[in-house]
Amino acid sequence: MSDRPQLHYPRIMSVTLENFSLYSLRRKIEVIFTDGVFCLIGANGLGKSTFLASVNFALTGILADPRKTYSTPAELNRNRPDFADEFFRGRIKESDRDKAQISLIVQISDKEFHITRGVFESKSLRNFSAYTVSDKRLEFNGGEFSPEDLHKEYEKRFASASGIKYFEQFVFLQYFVLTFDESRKLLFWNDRALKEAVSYCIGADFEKAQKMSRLQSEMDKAGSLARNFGFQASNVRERLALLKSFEEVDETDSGTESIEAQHEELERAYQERLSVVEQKKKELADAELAWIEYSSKFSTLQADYASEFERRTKRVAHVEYHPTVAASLSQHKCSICGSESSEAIENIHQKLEASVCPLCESAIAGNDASEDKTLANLRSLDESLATTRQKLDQALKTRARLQKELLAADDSLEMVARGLREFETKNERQLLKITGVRSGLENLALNLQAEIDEITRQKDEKYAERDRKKDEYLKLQKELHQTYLHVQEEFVPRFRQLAYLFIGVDLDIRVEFRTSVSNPGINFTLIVKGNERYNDFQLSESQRFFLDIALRMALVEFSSASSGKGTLLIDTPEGSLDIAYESRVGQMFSAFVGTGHRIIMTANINSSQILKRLARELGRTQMHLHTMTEWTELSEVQLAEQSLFQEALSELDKAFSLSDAAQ
Amino acid sequence: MTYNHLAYFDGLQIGQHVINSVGSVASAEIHMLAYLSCLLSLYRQQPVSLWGYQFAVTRENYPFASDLQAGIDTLCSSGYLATAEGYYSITGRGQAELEALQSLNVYQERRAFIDGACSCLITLPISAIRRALENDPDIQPATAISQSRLLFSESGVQTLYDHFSALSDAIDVHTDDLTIPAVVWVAFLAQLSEK
Repeated sequence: MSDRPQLHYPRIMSVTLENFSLYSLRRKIEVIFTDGVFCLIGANGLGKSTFLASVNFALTGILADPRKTYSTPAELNRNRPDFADEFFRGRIKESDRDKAQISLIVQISDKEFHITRGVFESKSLRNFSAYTVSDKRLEFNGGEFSPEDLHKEYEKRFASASGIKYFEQFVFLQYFVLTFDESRKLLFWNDRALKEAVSYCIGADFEKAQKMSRLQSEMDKAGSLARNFGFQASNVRERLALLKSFEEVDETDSGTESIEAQHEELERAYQERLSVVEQKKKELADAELAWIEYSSKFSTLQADYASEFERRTKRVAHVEYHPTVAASLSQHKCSICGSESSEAIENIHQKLEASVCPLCESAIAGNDASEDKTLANLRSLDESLATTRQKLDQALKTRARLQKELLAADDSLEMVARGLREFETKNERQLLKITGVRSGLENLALNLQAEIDEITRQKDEKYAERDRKKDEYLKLQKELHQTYLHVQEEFVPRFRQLAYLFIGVDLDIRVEFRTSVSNPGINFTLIVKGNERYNDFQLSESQRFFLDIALRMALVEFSSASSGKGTLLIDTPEGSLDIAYESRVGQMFSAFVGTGHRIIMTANINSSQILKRLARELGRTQMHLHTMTEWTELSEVQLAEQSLFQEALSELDKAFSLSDAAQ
Repeated sequence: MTYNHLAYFDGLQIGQHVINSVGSVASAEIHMLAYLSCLLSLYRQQPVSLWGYQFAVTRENYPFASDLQAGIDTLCSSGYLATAEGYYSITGRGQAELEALQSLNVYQERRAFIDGACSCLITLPISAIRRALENDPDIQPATAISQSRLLFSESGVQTLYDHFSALSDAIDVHTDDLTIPAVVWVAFLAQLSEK
């Protein structure tokens, strides 16, 4: 005996729909389910699918949006508030909005849950109570709980009773394994959903299953980013290659060689002229500096000369030449007092000869020596001035010459520069090819290469991250694989059996665990008459549908505890099976309910060989028909076809009778 | 007092020339001869700033330089110039002083200009020179309206250059003897006064 999970699936005991405007004839519809198959029969548009959807909504608080694809519990859980509101809005009148509700009685393990949910209330319950199955003892009454807290309590108790760790994982199982509805989301060819479902149903650690789910997302994300980086790097490489194409030189092109030679010559001439200009500028700067130096020196000497001259002029001397004294002597009359006495004049002469001032009688210093000295000083300064002046004149002449020469050199340079520019403009393309690295080309190439290196580094990082996560994933998958290997000896034969009942030919299912870096996971390969059918289009639509149902049945059977028999909800696909297959479907369904599980299904009575086969197989004790004609008003067309409806019911009665007779 | 040795020298040099010609001159005539010397330097295309002191025309209608006057006063008080009744003449001491200064290079260039200006005294009476200078194109606009004005302004110099350009067409501007251009210029100005 291998390790098998021991899940307790919900066994739906009854459903009560209140104030559903869609079911116009009944404000309250109560359906009680018994063992076997419950089949809701009605024409198209009467609300069969709505019935099943309402049961699921009441049970989970979620309605899956058929327009979206879900693969994990988290994705399904995100859908919580939105689609249910949209779905029921068209089916419940505004006036019934607050009154419409669904009540369920569900047995799970040894618990019986009574819940009531408002049709537009996905996160709250109007009523929740829990009992024990055996003695109907009340275990929980949510009278004092808020509606939201009631819901939380319900989720907690439900998960605990089911043996599934998290309520959202149960929701996933309810939609992907326990419900086959009009959205026709197939489990077999939804790789990720299949992995999730298989991991739950074959007894894998739920937390590991969650972790695998998370790792898968992270791997995908890292891989996607790495591919993006790779794409970016390719783009930049293309740009770099284009840039480098400019560097190719066609050496056999003589025109290019001639242009290159001319360009070199022009550049050389330009450089030569530039050197001359630079040299002239330097020489001119030196000449100007010399001129400034000599000017400064000349000025200084001039100032020194003036000072010396002033000193010479100011010297106290020549008292006898002072106008007053000179006038006195020449006029023989004192210029101060007017005395004309010869004694007065003689007095002046004597004082002068004694080197005494005639006016104040102060001693007069001898000036000859100092005069000689100042004159010598003046001569010395004068010579310096003359020398400096010569140098200054020379510097001025040099400066003037160099200014002219610089002007000429500038003109020459400008002429050559103009010629060079014109030449380069005319031959730009060829020159770019020759030089390849003119202006910023080389730098641009370096920048592009640096960009490529950085992007490549990031790409490698992401691939490394993906690989790390893949290793972790594969480790978990290996554990899952080990678990699966242990249990497949029971699961696979049962699936083969159920599928054979439908398809009627030998088939097998091979499970492969993919370890590829880009897409690790689980592959279920169907082998029909020895041929692998890897893709869904390799089977007909109806074959796909019912094989998927067979897979779900096998999973449920395998994973349920003996006291955990559940209820499979099937919105029967019709119109796409031929009669032979419809009959075999009936055998398959019969085999499933024979294990103790239940089916709640919908059917359009007119075409269904499924129902006849079921009726014959199960009889009235195991199959219950419920017509919707009492729930809602028929259209004129439907009313017109009532006779056909009655005819079909008669056929089913006959089938039941045959079954009763056989038993 | 600030001593301008160039003006000091000019006073002596002019005094020397005067004593050889008219014996003594009035202060205004010394200024006038100095102005004419400066004109000759301009004629020789030397910047007027190199002359070393500035001239103005006063309401007395003759060119005057403060620095020159200060130099004259200094020369007088040093006994190098003798003054009598407003007329100046160089003394023996002054001649000795001049001789000492003439050996210095700093005065060589201006000596030629002063010599050229003072050579007019040989051919023309000083009064005639004085009258002619009243028609100087830089002086006349101011004297015409009895206005004092600095001489050798930018526009004044340009006007003089324009006149000198015509003068140099007739005379070789590079001739060493400045007597000719001096005399021609004064004669030209004299003609203007006759008109």
